[in-house]
Amino acid sequence: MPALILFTLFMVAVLLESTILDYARVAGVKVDLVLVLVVFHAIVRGPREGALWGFIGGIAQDILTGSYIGLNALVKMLTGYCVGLGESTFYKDSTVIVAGITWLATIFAGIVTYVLLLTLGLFISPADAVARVILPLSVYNLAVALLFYRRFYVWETRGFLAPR
Amino acid sequence: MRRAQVGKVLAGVILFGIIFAVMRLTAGERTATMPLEGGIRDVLAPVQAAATQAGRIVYEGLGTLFSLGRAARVEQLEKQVRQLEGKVAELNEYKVENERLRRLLAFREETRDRYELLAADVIARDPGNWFGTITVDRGAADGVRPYMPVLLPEGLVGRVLRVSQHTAEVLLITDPHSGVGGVVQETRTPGVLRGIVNSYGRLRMTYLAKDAPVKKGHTVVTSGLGGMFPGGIPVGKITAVRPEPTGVTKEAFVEPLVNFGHVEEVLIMLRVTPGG
Repeated sequence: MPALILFTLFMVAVLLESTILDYARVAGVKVDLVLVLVVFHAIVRGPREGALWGFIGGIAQDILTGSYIGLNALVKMLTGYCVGLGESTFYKDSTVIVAGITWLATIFAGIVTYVLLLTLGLFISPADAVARVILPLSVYNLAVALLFYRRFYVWETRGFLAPR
Repeated sequence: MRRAQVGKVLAGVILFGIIFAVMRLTAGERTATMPLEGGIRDVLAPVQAAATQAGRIVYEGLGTLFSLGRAARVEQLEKQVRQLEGKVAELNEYKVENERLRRLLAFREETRDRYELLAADVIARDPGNWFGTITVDRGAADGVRPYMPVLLPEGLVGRVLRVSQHTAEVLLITDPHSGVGGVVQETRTPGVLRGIVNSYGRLRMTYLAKDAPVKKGHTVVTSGLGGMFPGGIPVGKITAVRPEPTGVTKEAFVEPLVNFGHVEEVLIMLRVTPGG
């Protein structure tokens, strides 16, 4: 049951990203809700779960994007795995620490995306990638993490996402 | 390294290889969606349309609430200005063309009267931040085909990338994959317009001759070269000009006439009418 709820949560996040969240752009970017959820989940549940849900959320984004199917899946899977590796060392109860990790994870995901696109033959100037996407997005995701992590943590530990 | 660890690493490498191969396969310009992909999009289309509509209502409602209507009025006026700029650019294009060819041509009606246009609502956008695509509620069933130009009265929006039965994905001119043949209206200097990143912001016009008299404020329209877009469709205004790193040519930054943040409906050019 928690898995089904989590799946619904990810699908709603993808739907919001492709519709309503476009009206909430700040500095030209919209929040990457799927990445934020992957980071939250990986911090609480570890690398295996982080990678799995990173893949699920990412592939859903890829299907709606239409280009480079697998790009978001790979990036989010890697990010989820890497964040999850710190599961036992991070202080999960601290919203500020998790927000900081979200910020770093967004930068990591941005760099991996950039390198993969380069490998696939799409050149974007590094300055544009950093200034127009990676940095503003990392700050936006950090802000969203500060606002919503506490609630998610309660869901994951004592609420409807807690293991039965 | 233990056998179990080797197995894990191997599985990871194989998974990475498979995903990377799929990425490569889907990286090109596919003109049709895959069956599963198209089905999901068609099923999701009404949900996305409703969600987009809800977002629009909330966005406009909040704007009106917080500014007591001022922001909405300013936005409406800005839209009118952009439309008029596009109209002026369109008319100038006719004038320049007539002068250049020195032929007496009957003044044609507005550019869009020369085309068969199909109106479509924007129902979704690219969920990420790297690319600039929108999804509209018209597809193969409505006669929409890949490569059809998409525009607004203000100017060029992009082109149809791929279609499912009831939706079409439009590649915006601001997408880094996009390349449009353009010409500076005042000087007839040709160049190629490329998206930078994301669906917002400027375009880069490259391959401009080093000595071309191009300057800030000049208007860029489609050149018609390449055959994908008819010539004379307004694209944007030049905001800056600088030499390219090689020093052989120079490049210009172009602010699109279309405000891509607020595109709600678009016009798909089904065909150019005879004599157009």
